[in-house]
Amino acid sequence: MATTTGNLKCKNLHGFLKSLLPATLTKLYSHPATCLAVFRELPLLSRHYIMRLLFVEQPIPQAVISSWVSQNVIKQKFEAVESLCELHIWNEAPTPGGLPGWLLNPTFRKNIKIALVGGGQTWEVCAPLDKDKKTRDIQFLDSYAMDRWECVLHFMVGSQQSHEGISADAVRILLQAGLMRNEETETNPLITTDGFQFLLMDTSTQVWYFMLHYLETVESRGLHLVECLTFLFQLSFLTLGKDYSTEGMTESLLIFLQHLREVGLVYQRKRRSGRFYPTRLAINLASGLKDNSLDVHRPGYILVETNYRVYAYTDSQLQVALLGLFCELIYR
Amino acid sequence: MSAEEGNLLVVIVDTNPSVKLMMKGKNVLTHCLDSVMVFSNSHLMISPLNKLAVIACHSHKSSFLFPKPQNDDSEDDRPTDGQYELFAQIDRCVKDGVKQLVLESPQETLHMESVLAGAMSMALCYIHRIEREEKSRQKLSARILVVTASGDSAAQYMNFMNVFFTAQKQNVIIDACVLDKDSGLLQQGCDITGGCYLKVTNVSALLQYLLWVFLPDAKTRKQLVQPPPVHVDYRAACFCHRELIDTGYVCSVCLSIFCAFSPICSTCQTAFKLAPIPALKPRKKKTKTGL
Repeated sequence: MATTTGNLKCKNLHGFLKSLLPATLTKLYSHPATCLAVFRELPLLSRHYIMRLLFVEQPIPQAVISSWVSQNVIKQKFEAVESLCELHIWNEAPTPGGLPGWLLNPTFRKNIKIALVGGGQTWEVCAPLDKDKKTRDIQFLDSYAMDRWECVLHFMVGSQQSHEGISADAVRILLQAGLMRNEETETNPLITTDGFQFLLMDTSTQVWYFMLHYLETVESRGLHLVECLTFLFQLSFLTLGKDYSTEGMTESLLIFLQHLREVGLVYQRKRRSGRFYPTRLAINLASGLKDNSLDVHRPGYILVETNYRVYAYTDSQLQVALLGLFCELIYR
Repeated sequence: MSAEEGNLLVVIVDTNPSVKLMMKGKNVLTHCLDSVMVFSNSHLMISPLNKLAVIACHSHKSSFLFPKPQNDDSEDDRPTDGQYELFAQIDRCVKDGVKQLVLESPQETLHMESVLAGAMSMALCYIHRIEREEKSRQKLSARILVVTASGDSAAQYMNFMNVFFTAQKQNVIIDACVLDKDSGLLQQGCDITGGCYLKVTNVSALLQYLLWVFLPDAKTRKQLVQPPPVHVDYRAACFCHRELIDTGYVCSVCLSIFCAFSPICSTCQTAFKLAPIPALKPRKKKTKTGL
C-alpha cells in the first residue's frame, strides 16, 4: 500500500498509526476489528511472532524469541521487532527469572483472540435486523460505489455535471489534502499537480489516500478519531452484499456514516432506514488488499500517434474529462 | 507488501472414530478439532490473500467441510459474539460437517482404516481447480496439511505413493502432523514433497505446535528455526500382502515389490525363466534388493 508516485506520498496504515499516541493506540486496540487490521499491516515475521505468543500468557525472554529466527535474516528480524514496539503491541517486561522479555499488550491480545476464536461482545453493526424488503445485490452495490466515487473524481477534473453530488465537506478534504486549490478568479477550486497524480492512482489507493486525509480532519469536525477508525476497520471486515444495523451508533458516528455514504463506501437507501450496506470500496480497505475487480481494465482504448494526436474510444465521461486535462479536445 | 503472495492451505483432519487415541478420552476429538479450527483461522488471518479448505477424512468416506457446496447457503445468520464473521462461518461449517459425518457413519465398520489417500487426492484435485481459476490473477502456492492419529495403512500404499508423486509434480507441499502413532508413509510423503513431518505426543499442546511449525508458508519457513527433520522410514509395502518390508524381491520389468519369490510377476505377468537349481544362486542375488 505504500505507494510513492512522484512526490505524492501515500502513507500506509502503519505510518499513520505510528503517529498516534500510545494511549490512543490502546484505545484503538479495544476492538477486535482494529486489532485484525493492525495485525495484517505488520511485517510477515511480526505476524508470526504474535501468533506464537498469542496463547502464552507470560513474558518470554527476548533471547528466546530472537532464537526463533535463523541468523541469515537479521534485517527482517529487527524490522519485525521494531514495528511491534512502535505500535506498542508488545512491551518490555522482565521474566520471572529477571531476564528482559517481551509481553504482548493485554488489550491487543484479548481482542485479537476474540477475533480469532470468538467470545466477547458482538460488533455493534451486527445487531439483529429483520429482513430487508429490498435487498441490494453485489452488482448494484458495485455500480453505486463506482458512481459515487466517480462523482468526486468528476469534481476534481471539473467536468460539467460535477456541481451537484459533492458536498462542501468533501471539497474541503480535497483542498486540505492539497489535491485542489482555490483561485481568486475562479468560483470552483482547481486541480493541482498532486491532484493529477491522484487521478492516475488505482481506485483503492485513491480511496485510502482520501480517507487518510479525512481522518486527519476528523477531530476538527468534532468527531471522535478512535471511534471513526474503529468503525472504518469494522467496515473493512464485513461481508459484501449483507446489510448491517445502525442501531447502536452514536450521533457522531452517524455523521461519519453519512460522509462515507457520500463517497460511496457505504450504501443507505434512506438516511434513517436503520441499515446500511458496505460496498467494495470499504471492504478490505484496511487490509492492504488490492481488489482489482472494481478497476475494470479496458485495454486499448487510447491511441497516441507520433504526430501527437490522441484517439480515445470510451463512453465514460470521466475519462473524456481526464483526457481533456492533458490534451486539447478537437472532435468528440 | 506487494511481494506477498497468497497461500492455499488444505487441511485434512482424520476424524476416524476407531483410532486408539480417540478412545483415550472423551474430549480428545473435540480438542483436536478446536485446535485445527483455530489454526485454520490463523492461516486466513495471517494474510487476506490466503485461502483455505478443510477436508474431513472418515473411515468410510472423506468430505469437504469448508468450503461448502453453494446450494445450502440460505440461512441468514448473525454472529453471536465478537468473532470475525468469516472465521465464525468457518467454525460453523466445520462443526456441522463433522456432526453430519459422525451421524452418517455406519455402525459396523468400527475398525476400519481412514481413507487418507482418498482425502489427499481430493485435496490435490481441489488445488488444481483453484490454481486454474486463479491463474490469471495471482500466483498461488499450495500445501496440504494432514492431521491424523491413525498410523500406517499399508493397504493404501500404492494410492499414497501416487498421491505423493503427483503432489511433487504439482509443486504441492505435503505436511503431516501425526498424533500418537508414527506413520512411515507420511514421512516419505513429506520428504518427497519438501514438507514438514512432526509427531506430537502431547495432544493438549497441539495448537501451539501447529502455529509454530505449520503456520509459516514454505518461504517463511526458511527464515524461521524449525524442528530438525526426522529420520525417514523408507520401507515399502509389498504388493502381495501389503506389508511393510525391509528386504524383498523386485520384478525387473515393472519394479513391483514382493515379500516372497514367485515365478510370475502378478502385476505385469512377466515369467521369470529360471535356470535349474544350481544356477539359482547368482540369479537370486541379482533380484534381491535391499530397500
